[in-house]
Amino acid sequence: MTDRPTLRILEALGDELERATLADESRERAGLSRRRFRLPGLPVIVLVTALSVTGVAAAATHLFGLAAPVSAPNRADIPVEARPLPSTVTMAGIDAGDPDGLPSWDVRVSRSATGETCTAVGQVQDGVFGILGLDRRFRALPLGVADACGTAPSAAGVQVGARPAAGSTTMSPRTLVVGIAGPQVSRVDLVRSGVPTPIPIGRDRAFLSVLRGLPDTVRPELSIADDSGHTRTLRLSNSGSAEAPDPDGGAPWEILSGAASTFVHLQGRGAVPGRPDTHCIQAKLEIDPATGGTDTSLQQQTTTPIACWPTAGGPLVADIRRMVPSAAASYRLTPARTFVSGFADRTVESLVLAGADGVDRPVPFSRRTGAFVVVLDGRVDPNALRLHATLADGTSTTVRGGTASLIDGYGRTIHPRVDPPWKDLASVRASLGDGSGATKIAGTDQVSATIADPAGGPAWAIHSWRARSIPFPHSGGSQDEVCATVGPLVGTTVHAPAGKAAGVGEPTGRQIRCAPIHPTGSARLGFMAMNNLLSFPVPYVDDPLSRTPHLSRIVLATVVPGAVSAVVERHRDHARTRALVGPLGAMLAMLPPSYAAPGTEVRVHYRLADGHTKTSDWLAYAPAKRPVRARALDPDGGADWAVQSISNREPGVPAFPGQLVDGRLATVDPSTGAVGFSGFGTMGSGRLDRDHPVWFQQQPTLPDINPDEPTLATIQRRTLPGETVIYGGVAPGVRTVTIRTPRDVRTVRPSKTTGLFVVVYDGRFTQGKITVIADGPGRHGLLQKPAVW
Amino acid sequence: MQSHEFVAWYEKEAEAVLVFHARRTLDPELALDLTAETFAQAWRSRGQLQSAVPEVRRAWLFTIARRQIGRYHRKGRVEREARERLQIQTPPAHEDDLAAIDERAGLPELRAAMTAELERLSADHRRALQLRIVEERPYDEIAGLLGVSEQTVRARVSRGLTALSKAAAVNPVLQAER
Repeated sequence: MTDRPTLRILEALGDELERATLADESRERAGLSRRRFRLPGLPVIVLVTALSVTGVAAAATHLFGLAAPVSAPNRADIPVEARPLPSTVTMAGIDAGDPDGLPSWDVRVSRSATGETCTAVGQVQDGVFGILGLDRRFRALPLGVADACGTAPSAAGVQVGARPAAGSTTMSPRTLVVGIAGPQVSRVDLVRSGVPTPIPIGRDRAFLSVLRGLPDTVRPELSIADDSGHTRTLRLSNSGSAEAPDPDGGAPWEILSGAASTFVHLQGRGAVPGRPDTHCIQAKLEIDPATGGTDTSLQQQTTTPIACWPTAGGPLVADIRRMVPSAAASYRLTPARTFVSGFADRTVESLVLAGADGVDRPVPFSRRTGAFVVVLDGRVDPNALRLHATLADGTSTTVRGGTASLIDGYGRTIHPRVDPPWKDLASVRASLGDGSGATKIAGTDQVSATIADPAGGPAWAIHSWRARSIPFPHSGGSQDEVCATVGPLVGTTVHAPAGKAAGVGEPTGRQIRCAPIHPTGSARLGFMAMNNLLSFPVPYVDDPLSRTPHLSRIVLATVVPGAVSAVVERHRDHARTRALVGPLGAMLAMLPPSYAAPGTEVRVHYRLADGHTKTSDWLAYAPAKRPVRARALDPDGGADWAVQSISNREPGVPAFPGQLVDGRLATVDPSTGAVGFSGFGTMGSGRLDRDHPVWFQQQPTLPDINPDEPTLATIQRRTLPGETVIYGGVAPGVRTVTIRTPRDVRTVRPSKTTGLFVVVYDGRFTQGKITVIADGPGRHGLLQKPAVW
Repeated sequence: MQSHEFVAWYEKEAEAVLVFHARRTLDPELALDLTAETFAQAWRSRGQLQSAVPEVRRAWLFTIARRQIGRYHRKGRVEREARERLQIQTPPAHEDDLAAIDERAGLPELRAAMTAELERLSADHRRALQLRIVEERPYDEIAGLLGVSEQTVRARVSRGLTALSKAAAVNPVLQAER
């Protein structure tokens, strides 16, 4: 086996492992023990905004009920360049109509103490500037808050962005195109389907246009004219990529084409990197802006296989294939589609696809590269399709099925494969089950006694049951497992903890984990059960939507089959706290916030039914408090985001960013209040020197949100689920950092002492690029990365 | 174990682990996913092997691999936790990569041998295995097609696999050490 050449895909995986393990080592070198390094998991993001429009416009004169104003942040918490001076605030007086006849929209313009121009966009009702929430209640927006601040545009420049406002089934989402025109801008037009519509410019040269839909769907296009008569076009939320529409009208497919060397994963170690005489094509599904994301299992976007041909492969080369949904492939949980892709050379005048729905359809192709992709419903039979090319000399050529000259990026012929039969996405999803991985054994449910909640809420209990795993011959057949969930007990039912302090959520507490019982049925701990000794304590905050949340309790829960009692020991003072142990070996310890003191370590001593004892390793989960190096407001109105140094010895190396909870960085689950401290890890600081003066990373947050229960922030402020955090560092001498995203352009000042910066955007980017430009005397640099994480 | 040692170890064992997964799942793409997760988990707990002899390291690696397959069959999905923590993206497999894995793992012969063994099973068990393993249909859909409960389908698939497992003990192709 070892005499044969290594599989190319294993080499590619080896490269990826090398990159990731080196990065991990670098994190450890930054002063962390590996045991302490722990990234909080990424919970599920699901649909919050629904794109359906009710079509029922409320009368413009209708006054909506008032709710308490949106709470104002502490001014000291806002970076000085983003802190509007109250004395400079003016309303632009734009009165932009809402497409559904709801209160009209306007821009509040102000200046920061450092001279930046700041804008806040909102609605005006009865002379009050605010926002109409999804609950159809109107809330005033406090002074001192701006959506964005930046250097005032000079001459014919503009400062412009597209801000989203979430929608619901009763209120449609909005794209708010808001900007400031430079003094020499004479006219701003919104261009839709090639038709320009003027956007009025108001006081302080602010302009605003309100559109139905989210920015990533609307992709606003602006035409800017200046006094010299020159006109230029700005495309917001536009990736600049060639795209093919999806037959269901959802997110489009990005067309990736070019020389084989441009396809990164064809550049594996030891492989022939990208033959120059080979060009390749691939389609990649863009993220759906309506959802902002899909399943957490979708860590990479759906792609078609890369198809390549010799560049001199003839006037027309094409690959025609059907892709069907799969649980494990790179074409993941995506509906079945039939793809027609390839290249037409310069002799081709036109392309026509026949055989789909009995209609001949023209196929657009790039005149520059010749690339084309057509995406059809997966029910279309690939074998029934014919692609006709009419050539410049009047002759024609036809391709049916895949061409024989289809090769891979290394020049080897790909053997034709049989197209799989059409498969329904729902059936693939259903086959994934509910994720519990085991079938509950009826009649085994047991609810334990209760244990007091240090946060002052109802006492908590353990709900445990037996389950049977799906049998598999290689793993020794079926195994019984113990599964458990913990939460506040209401009546006889264990519920999920809710966001507010001591609150109670749905009666479906989260399944914490299942652990196999040793196959012999004895209480001796099996290998898997030993792993369950290592369950990290989970802190909770009193109010996850508060700007200043505080720790309220720490929950330690796991399943150790055979355990009859458990005691938690604190390392610092050897204090011992008795845990609750359920009838099936599930344990639950409820610890006060003092157990999150910096450097706290705990371990658990278990006594087993057979008289033996087991003790877990020491668990460290509470990082030290360190100075905040840069901070930014949370678009949802929650705790501020910040970056801290990974250690006091390395002030320029940022830890992963997080929200500030009692002075430490954490990810906060908005629905349960569960917290994962995030000060343990780092991506390093990148390479910073005169030639590379800026480095950044982006970190999207993917909150676990029930589509039927949007968070308070979405309801009140119409913010999107989740946030995108961009953070990084600059070399000494850099004064400003300008961040250009598909949404807008912002300028921030990095920390004077450490060079760190952080910016937070509402929602998640679905396409395009992020460009960060560092500027200062003798310093100028630019770094660009894809906006889709 | 440092990164360069780990990568060297990966280069030595990756194909064996991939073949191990492929022969137990008959799905090259799935095997690739499982292989990636196996090594990501191995990296995370490499500290336990600092001074282990190569044989112990190997046994330990395959214990992780075996556990991955067990979890996959219990949960119906491949674990991603270790890869997510390390921020590893599994490279998307090209079709000829999959064909190469098929060939390395001897999957065509294995599938043929499986088919022969399937012929020996009862019609009920064979049909259930055909729909579940070969056509990859979900249990509820199979239950609908066969007009029996989902539990019955699971039982038939389980018994069919057990019978095949026993047959494997005497079939040289199925038994082949990979």
